[in-house]
Amino acid sequence: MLNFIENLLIRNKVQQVFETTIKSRNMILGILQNYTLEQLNKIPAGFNNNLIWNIGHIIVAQQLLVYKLSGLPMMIADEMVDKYKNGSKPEQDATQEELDKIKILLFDTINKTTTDYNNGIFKTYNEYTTSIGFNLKNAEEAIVYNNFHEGLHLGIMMTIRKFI
Amino acid sequence: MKDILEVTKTSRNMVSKLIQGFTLEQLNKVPAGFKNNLIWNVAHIIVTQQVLVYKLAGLPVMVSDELIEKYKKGTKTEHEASQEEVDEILSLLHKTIEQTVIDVENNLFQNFTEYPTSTGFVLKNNFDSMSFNNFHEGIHIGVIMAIRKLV
Repeated sequence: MLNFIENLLIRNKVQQVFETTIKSRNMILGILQNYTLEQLNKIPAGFNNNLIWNIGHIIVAQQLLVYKLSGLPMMIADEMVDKYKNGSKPEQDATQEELDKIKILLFDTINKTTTDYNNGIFKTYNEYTTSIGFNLKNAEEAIVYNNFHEGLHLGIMMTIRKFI
Repeated sequence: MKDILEVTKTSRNMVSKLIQGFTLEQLNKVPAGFKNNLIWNVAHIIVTQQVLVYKLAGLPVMVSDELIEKYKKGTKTEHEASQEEVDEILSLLHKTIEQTVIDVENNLFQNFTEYPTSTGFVLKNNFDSMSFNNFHEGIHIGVIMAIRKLV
């Protein structure tokens, strides 16, 4: 019984964490809708990437951190992972088709994570230390850490948009 | 709450690493097209955590009213920070979170006043505010990463 209550409390908290992720995705959509495809693809002088790369990277990182490390299938193609994973940078302009796909994935991925989490599918996790030295031990920690990671790239996007 | 604060600690370590080696002049430089500089973003992260996590919980903050007025939401860089001020900000960067960890262990966070953030997100309890704070710190770290290329 105590375990049951504890689990319920943890679930409620994770639910609150997802609400921040949804907020983050809404903020990203707000930026995405305000710029042309050309602007989204533009890499300002002094930067390594553009707005669309940062958006793709946010989606890919969430899938890797939460699903791949849990040993579960991701919602995105390997090709997209390679294009936007850690250490990658924009090699060619994203097309309108790619942009439309990203826009859908922005919300589909998080809605699915919420459902999957509530269904209790995250059972195992391959411990992983992120590039900034944070040690992830389970899916909940990955979900919490992911919001910080999204914020960081949102901050970079808020800066890039001043120069496009 | 522990996981949340572990991320905040990582965030603070990242901030101190990102601004390491920058001179007082660089920390104070507002690049063209920006409203703020590096030190404003660092102090803003500290002040916001104190307001979101302590003030909304009805608990005393660890920073002065003067610091809050200078770096709270909606402010911008009005003057150059002195070395003394920078030293104070850098020490608060770690001290404030170490204190929050202790205060959580001592169950100090019992009350909360609901609060709508500037991004339209309503904070409903102490967990919410600590969780949202990490997202907020992330945003300003992203800005810091960009500004440091331009100073």
